[in-house]
Amino acid sequence: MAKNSFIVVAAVGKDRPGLIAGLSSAVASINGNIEDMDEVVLRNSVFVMSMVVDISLTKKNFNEVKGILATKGQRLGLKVLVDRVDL
Amino acid sequence: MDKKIVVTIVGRDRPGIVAGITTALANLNANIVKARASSLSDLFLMMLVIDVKEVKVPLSGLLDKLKSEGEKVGVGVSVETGDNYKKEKRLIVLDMDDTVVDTEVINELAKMAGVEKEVKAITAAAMEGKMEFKEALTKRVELLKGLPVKKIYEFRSRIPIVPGALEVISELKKTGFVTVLMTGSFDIVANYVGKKLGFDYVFANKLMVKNGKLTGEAKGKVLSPESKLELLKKIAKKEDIPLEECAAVGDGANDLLIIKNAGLGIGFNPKKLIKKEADAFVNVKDLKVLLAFVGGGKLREDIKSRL
Repeated sequence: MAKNSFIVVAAVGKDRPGLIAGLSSAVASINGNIEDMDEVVLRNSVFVMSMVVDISLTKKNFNEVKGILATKGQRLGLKVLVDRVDL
Repeated sequence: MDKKIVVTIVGRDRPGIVAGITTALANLNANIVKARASSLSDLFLMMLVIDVKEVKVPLSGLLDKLKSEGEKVGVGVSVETGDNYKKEKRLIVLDMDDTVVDTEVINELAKMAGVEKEVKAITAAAMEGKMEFKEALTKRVELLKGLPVKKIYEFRSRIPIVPGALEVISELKKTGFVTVLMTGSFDIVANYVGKKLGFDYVFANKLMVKNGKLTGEAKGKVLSPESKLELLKKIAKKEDIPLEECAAVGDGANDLLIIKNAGLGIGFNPKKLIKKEADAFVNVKDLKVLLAFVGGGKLREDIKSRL
C-alpha cells in the first residue's frame, strides 16, 4: 500500500476472552500497525472495539485487508466494519 | 483471583505489540474489559483493565507471563491490582546512574584517575549482586585517591542526562509529587544533577576532599539496598505519604529493596535481578514513559472508573 494508508476498524459482538487478541493478530499478520485503539465491554456482555490501523507496510490491497479482517471477525462471532480513512 | 487488574504497556511503536500482549492474556483466560491504546510520536502506550475472575494462575504468574511477553515484543509492562492502582502515587524516588544520567559515574571518575579497568570490574560485580555494595564502594573510592575535584566539576557540567528527565520531574512536581534522587553514587555529581533537574531531595555518598583532591575515603548513608529503603521510609514519613503511595525507579541491585517495598517498583532498563522483582519495567531510554505508570489526568480517572 501507499505511504500514509490508514483504515478504521469497528467490531461489535458478544464478549469473551480473546477477541482483541484475535483481531489484533489478524492486523499483525498483514503487517498493519495499530495507531489507536479503544475497547469497552458494555453491560458486562457486549464487546465494542474500534481501531485505526496504518497499513502502509502491507503487501495486500484494501479489499484483501477488508476480507481478512471480516473473515477473522466472523470466526470470532463479531460484526466487523472496515473503511479507509484520510488522516 | 476475583478482582480487576490494570496493565500498562509502553515502548517503541511497531506492528505486533497489541497482538502479542493480548494473545498472552487470552491464553490465561483473562478478559479485557477496557482498552485504550495510542501511539505518541515513536512511543506506543496501552492501558488495559482486566477481569481476572477466570484466570487460574496467581497475580505473580500473570506478571511473569506479561513481562516475558513484553520482552519478546520489545515493550515495558506494569501490572497493578485495581486496589493498588486506585492509590495514586505522590512520591517518586529515582536512582541516578544509568537511570537519570546515561552513565555509571564511578566508571567515568575511574577513567579520569586512570584506574578504569579495576573499578569497572568491582562495579559490575556489585550491580549484579555478587559483591556487597558497601565493600565495593570502599574499594572503588580508595582507587580514586588523588583525583582533582576540578576534573569532577568539569565532568559533571557535561554529564549525559537521560532523555525526558527534565520533563518528567517538572511534570510530576506540577501535579504535587515529592521527587527524590537517591544514589549510591557521589554528592559532587548528584547535588549538581539534582539541582539541574529540580529534585526536592538528593541523597548520595560524600566523597572526602583535601587540598582539592579526593582522599580515597567516602562518608555517607546511601551504602546499601537496606539503607536506601530506610531513607525512603524516613522521607515518606516526613512527607506523611504511605509507602503504598510511593514509586521507586532504578536499574541495579542497590535499588532492589526500594523497588520491592514501594507501592510501585519500576525497573528502568534493569539488570536481570531487578526485572524479576519489579512490578513494572521499562526498556526504552526515555524517562517520559514513567508518566504512563504514575501520571494522573483524564486517562487515569477513566481507568479508575472501570475498576
